[in-house]
Amino acid sequence: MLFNSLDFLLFYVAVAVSFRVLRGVGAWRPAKLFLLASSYLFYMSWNPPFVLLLLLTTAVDFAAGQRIHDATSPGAKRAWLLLSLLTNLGILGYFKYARFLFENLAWLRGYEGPTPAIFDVILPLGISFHTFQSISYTIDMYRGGGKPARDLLDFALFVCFFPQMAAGPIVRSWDFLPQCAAPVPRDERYHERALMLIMVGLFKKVVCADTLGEYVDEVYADIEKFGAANLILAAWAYSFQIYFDFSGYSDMAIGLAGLLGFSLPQNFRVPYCAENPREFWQRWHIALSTWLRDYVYISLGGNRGGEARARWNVFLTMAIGGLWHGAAWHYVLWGAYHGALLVVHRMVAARRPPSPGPLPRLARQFVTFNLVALGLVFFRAPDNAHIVAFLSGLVSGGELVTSGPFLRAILWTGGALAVHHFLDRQSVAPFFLARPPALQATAYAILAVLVFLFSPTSERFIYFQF
Amino acid sequence: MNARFFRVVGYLLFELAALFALAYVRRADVAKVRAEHLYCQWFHDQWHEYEWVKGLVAQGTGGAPKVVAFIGDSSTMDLRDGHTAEQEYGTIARRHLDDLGIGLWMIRAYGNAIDTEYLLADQMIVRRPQAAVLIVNLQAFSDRFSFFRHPDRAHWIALSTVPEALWLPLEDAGVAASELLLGPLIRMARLCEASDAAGAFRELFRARFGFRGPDVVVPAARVEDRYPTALDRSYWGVQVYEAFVRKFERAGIPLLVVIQPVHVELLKETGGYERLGIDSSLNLLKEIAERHGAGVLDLSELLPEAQFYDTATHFTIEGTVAVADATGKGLRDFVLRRARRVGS
Repeated sequence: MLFNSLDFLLFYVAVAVSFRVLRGVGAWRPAKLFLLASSYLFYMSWNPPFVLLLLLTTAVDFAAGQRIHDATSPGAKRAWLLLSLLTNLGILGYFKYARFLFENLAWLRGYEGPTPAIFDVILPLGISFHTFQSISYTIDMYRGGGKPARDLLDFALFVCFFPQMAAGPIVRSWDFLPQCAAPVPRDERYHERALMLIMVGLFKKVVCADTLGEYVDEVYADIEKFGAANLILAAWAYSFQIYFDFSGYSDMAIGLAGLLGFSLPQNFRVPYCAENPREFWQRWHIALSTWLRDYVYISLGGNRGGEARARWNVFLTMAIGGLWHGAAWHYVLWGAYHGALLVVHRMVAARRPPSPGPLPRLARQFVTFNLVALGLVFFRAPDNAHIVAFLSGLVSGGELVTSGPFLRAILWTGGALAVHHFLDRQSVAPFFLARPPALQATAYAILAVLVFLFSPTSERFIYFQF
Repeated sequence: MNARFFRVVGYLLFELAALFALAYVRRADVAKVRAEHLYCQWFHDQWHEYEWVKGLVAQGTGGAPKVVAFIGDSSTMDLRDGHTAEQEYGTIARRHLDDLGIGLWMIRAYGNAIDTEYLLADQMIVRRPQAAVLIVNLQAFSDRFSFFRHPDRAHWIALSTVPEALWLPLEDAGVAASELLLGPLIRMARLCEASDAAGAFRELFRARFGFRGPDVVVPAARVEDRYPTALDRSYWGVQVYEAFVRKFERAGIPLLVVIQPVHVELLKETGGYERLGIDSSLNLLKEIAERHGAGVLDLSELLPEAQFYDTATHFTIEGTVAVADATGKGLRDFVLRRARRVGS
């Protein structure tokens, strides 16, 4: 069930109404139980047997969390943490990376036979997200950060809460579990804000992302045919396509959770207005970047071993982050590219006193945006040959090829850049939410009609594959 | 959740219900839908032809391939049943180029409205063929033949992948920008063939931009109704045609304009030939082509009436063979002549 499908709309309305009724009559535990059952149903709508993996992860991490917290000896704590890590990373490694590993070994050994059936497995939905989420819980327990979950129901809901289980935002146990303990009172605009996020997210995904995707797909289908200007536009268009796609999903996830009374962390903050690579990662996929910082970068030693070691750790963390996105070298390249950008930025920043620098703000934003857009070539290209073709096309000039999608991509990319920069200076949400209900509803009706008109072309969310 | 939130949701549901109700009320009755379908089917066919061009686009733009690009209409599509492979238009035309080692890229679109051809020009030029052939059908230069004045046509143009579509005279066709925006929604409702409210809503949810409906029998038309009266330069179709020819001239790609056979015999019998000023119309088209450096192959008087099988420009098998053969020969001469000119 995709968030932009009629099936999901019916599912969600039924779940939300039932949950709110149960919660309203004070049956909080039955309400949570119902939500958990709905979450499993949501998960099983893709591939029912894989729910067993989810149950295994939940059971192991629930037990491990308690044992780690209660254990008195460091050895016992380490053993339980190891069990949790082996279970989670074992599942993730097998389903996501075993085939990749086999193919690379086969290439090294010159093996050209068929892939054994054992490596030919389907990737379970959202495995990277709920695995990381679950791991963070046991590591937090190991580091002494917070109390363990004492209620299996709450913990199970933390692992598979359906609004965010497929593609995040990755939540932390210390943020989510307290919300399960008892209903959290929300301010008077909370649910209106949630509804706004759902509508805006849907619009971003169906109208903006898929419209831009039309041109991006055209270019990537035959890169050699297009000139440098086309490729630059395609890189920009893809930057916004993936932003609208993923932030649209995140907005919807936050909004859907919000209507149920849960709060999820913000995942994007107008990222293309970042003035340097470091700031970009403070604005882009915030849930993942903070997760990588807390559980990979710090685990590698962070900046405790001197500046050279810290740079290496940054680079390695980002390369791992790239690999997290997918079992393919172009994702690793993308991660390494960002790692290199962050290292260079760190070196430059260390030599210069904190000041705005010689470039005006807009120029710094433009440079950062283009560096990010260039990096996304590694991300979007299906393989290394496409990356080479794209990059060589960028420097070789070539003829400008115009088409309908080309014109639309110019309009949408230009418009997106303008709106992006406006939103960086001015938040529209408080102004909008202060408008009369009828006016808000009219805006939503317009968005709904646009979504309806654009829906035939909509595809899956890009981040569902991770 | 407070009362204000429920008011927002309530208003939203009310407005959406009102919008759907409006769309439902605006849907046409089945008879009207069927009439509309004549146009829609035609646009649909055009669109599919245009999809074919995308295949050509996928072949890339590199080099100057040894091919002649050919833009034809239904008169070149072997519509009459019973053609053997040897009697097909494309086979015959290609045969004349074989020994020159030159291929033929053929794009054939129903209707051959002149603006359709114009949309194809850029796709051809960017691929740098050795030469190009434009089939010019005099019947295409009439509003009766072209459905351009229908808003759906404008919508089709809006969907096209050639930016020059924007330069087409939308205003002359009575098409406002708002129609382009609201057209899909209105058409979705108007083409809905549901007989009850539940069916209509279901259709609305399922509706895509595709077209559907029963086959429509095109009513017979008198031959004189199909030809324009004394064309002049003020006619939009002539202006678009000239723009097309000019594009090839500017791109330096030799263009051969082939004037398709006209129902000369029949029109002379009815007196329509003089009344409609067929000569002057043909002369205008030829003069425009020559002024912009294009070659002209005039086949207007090639066929006797017996080799047409309807009042449109569709031929019998014998007629097709004769036209294809004459076109192939003319094209061969043209290619050799232009090649020599380039060589000298």
